Amino acid sequence: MKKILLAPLDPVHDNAAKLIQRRLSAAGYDAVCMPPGTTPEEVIAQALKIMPDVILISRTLGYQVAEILGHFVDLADAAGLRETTRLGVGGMALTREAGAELGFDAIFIGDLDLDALIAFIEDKPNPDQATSSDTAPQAKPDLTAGYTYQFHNPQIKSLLDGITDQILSWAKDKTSDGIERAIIRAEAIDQGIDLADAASPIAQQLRKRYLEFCDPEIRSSYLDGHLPPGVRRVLPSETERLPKLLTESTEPPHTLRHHGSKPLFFVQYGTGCPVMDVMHIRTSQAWGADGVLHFDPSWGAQREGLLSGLLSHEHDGTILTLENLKFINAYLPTQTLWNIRGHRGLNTPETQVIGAAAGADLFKINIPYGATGGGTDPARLTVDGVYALMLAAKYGIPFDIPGNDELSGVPPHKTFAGILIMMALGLKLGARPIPKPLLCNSPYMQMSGEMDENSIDINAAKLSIWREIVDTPVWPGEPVGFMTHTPERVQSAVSTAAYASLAASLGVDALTMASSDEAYSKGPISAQARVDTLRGVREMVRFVGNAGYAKTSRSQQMQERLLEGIIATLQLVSRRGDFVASIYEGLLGSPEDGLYPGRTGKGTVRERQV
Amino acid sequence: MKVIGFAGTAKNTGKTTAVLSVMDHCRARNLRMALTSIGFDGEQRDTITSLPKPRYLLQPGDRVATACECLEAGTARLKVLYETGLKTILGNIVLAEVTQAGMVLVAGPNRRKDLDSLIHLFHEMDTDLLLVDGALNRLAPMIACEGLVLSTGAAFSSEIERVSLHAAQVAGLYNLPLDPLVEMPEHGGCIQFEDGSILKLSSGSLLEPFDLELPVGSHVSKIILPGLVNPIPLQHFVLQIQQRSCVDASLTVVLASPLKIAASGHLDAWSALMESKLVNLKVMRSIPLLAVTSCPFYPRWLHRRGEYEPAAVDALDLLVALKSSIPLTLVLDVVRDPSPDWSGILKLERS
Repeated sequence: MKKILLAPLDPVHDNAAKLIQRRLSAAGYDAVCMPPGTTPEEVIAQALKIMPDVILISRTLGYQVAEILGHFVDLADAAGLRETTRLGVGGMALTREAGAELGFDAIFIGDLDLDALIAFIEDKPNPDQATSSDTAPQAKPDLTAGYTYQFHNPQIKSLLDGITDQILSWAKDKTSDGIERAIIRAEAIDQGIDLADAASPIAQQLRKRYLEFCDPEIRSSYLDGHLPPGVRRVLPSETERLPKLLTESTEPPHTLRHHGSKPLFFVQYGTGCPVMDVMHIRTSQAWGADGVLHFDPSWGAQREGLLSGLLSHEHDGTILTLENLKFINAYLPTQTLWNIRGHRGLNTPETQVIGAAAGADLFKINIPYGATGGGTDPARLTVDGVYALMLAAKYGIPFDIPGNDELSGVPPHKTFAGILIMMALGLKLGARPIPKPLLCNSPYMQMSGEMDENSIDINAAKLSIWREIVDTPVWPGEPVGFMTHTPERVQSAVSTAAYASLAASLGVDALTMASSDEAYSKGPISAQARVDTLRGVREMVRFVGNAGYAKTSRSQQMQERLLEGIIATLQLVSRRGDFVASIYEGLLGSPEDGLYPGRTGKGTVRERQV
Repeated sequence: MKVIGFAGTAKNTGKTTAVLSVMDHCRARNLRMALTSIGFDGEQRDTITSLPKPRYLLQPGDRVATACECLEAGTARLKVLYETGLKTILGNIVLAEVTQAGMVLVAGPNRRKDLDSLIHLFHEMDTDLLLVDGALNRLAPMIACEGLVLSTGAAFSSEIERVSLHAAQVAGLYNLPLDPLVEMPEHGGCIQFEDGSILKLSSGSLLEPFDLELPVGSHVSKIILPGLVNPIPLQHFVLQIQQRSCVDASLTVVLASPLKIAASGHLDAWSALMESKLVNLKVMRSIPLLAVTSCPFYPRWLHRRGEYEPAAVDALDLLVALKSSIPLTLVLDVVRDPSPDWSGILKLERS
């Protein structure tokens, strides 16, 4: 049995040392704890008597405290203890660099990580802190793993089969400028060619073909170097600073989960500047985010064609270029999941192509939302969306389906019907879908009063219904708590934390969170506001722990009404026999609901030439 | 190869500044240099006060022993020559050569045993001088070096008198006589009797009062304690032996080294013990204290703002006080006198 000597080199506080003693004793170690107020010399004297395998010191770091801790290490060395005994330290304000300066063999920062502590005691690599030089990188988590996508509701399955057959049949021989660009872009990437390379004859040929399918504004950027207003090239001086900024702190990342491996927590980024995005991503990851979603500017989705180069944009949303995505990916932490959204605009297929080339882990595709709230013509987005789903299947990259049309006022049963159509369509094409019910105080909720009494019943129903219908991962978003946020950051962080803990307690696989100033930042989102939210979520998830919300009869009734509404909506779409017409005619969300069919790209679908 | 350690009486006493001064001197003389640290050095800002720190700018051909995670952190380009397998919090230590000038972060061996191993490795290489930067107030690993430069100043105490008194106490330890006959296991203590017999003690350290069953009338020759010793229990122990045995007024006590004595702290008590003539202190091993550097800087804590600000005592006052308190030791202010003759001070010869 290994002996562990614990000592709080602190005049008063010994809670941490006592807690660790209890945990280590329970884990089978002979753990001895000295009282608060113990001096370094007394610890060494005790160590010389019992000859422990490990001494663990607990102390918050301050200026003169550093000398106390350094003195302790020196005493251990002078007493000859360091040949047999290893020294660890934990406490507030410590950093790994400070631990190295003090001369300890290990440092424990933040909450107690018993696995890391035991790994140190056993002199084994810490699974959380293993460096790339001594361990192979772990595979990123797969949100769809273990789900069969078996439909439990035969009526819904049958309706979806009919609807998706019609969609595929309708789209089969159609194409668009978006699809043609995606084909050219894939060709360029396969050949390792940069479309903007002026010196390459092959690039010139491909670029010429590509630009035939682009808007004049995009064409001009390739031919004359003119960038759209508010867009500029990122300077080398801006990118060169980044490696150094990122190496100044090596604090290991926090986790937001109190137990288990789910849910995974995602945050959205899209500051406009890829360099700033990297800082936001790394900050979010350090404070517990497991994944990030790339948000691009809405005007980019309304242009035919994608720009080229490392570009910064002075307003919200980071421009989708292959170079921007590759740059961000180069600084993405190895375990962080990365979602590229291409669900709503004229570049949907091409976005999947450059996303896959840049290393995306997840896509986002939703035809009903993109063809209404996203502003793209339903026919165009259906053709492009089907092609994008084929690409997602080809690349083996799961796609999520955000239900953000609810934000316009659509009742959730219509939104969910659209999500189910997208799921079935994706499955039929060999892709792996993830539904994203929106947890929000939407206009419909405000009108219907379904959240007047509490915010739990309807949102619990919106989450629980998915596995009643199909064996699927569930990822609420986007973000949770949408339309509950205010300009007051504490309120916004608390609201997000409450929704996140509700979702976590109901067994979702992932969830997306906004930063607490996202809705009202009036400028770039601040990193501090991100941390506010992440800290709030962490506390709330910890508060709920492995407890949960008990389902009420009211919530059950809401779920049943939701199911009836979904089936009724799917029946309407099925009876209409034309998915695109169903969107135009408002079957998945009407002008009365607050939803209008999109107009961008209208009339651009054409028959494919053989 | 010469191995010089740079220790401090506290954090921010100017160890790195002293090392930089030596490096400038040696670079001008084309000496082949290597650098390591028993802590973490070369960072832009202090890990605790966040105040700016002197940084290590190395040139092509310089060598450094540092932890893996520091390799990419600086701006110098480094070529790894050897992976030592020695562990630190920031990864295993590697020996690297600078191929393109730039800043380096240095986190080297933090245990004496590991520093010994590292020095052995550098001996195999074509290096004239290995500089070992210290950490905080830590001293123990520096026994592996051949000479010591001690940095002190206002960061130890902003009271100049305290700094100079402490310096005198520390410097006094380096003048303790050697006991050349001692050949003992590293950490085992014993009592030698005049008839040549030996009584082994359970430990080479003495940190608490210790009762020894010694026959009355024993003729104790010396006490040997190579571990860690606190002067107060030592005094108690010596008095106990003197009461039960026939010994001279002054009992010889052999300790490991001046560094271990200083590492134990209690310098006031050590000084009092030496002055009392109760014991005749000797050491098994010593290293020369080559110089003391004086640093007026200290970080001042601002309660209202919750942060540190740079502050300083009068540099000349501090220098004069130190020179006066340790007249037999060279005292330097490497900022006021940036070009000392380090070749002479460190007794360097190009190999």
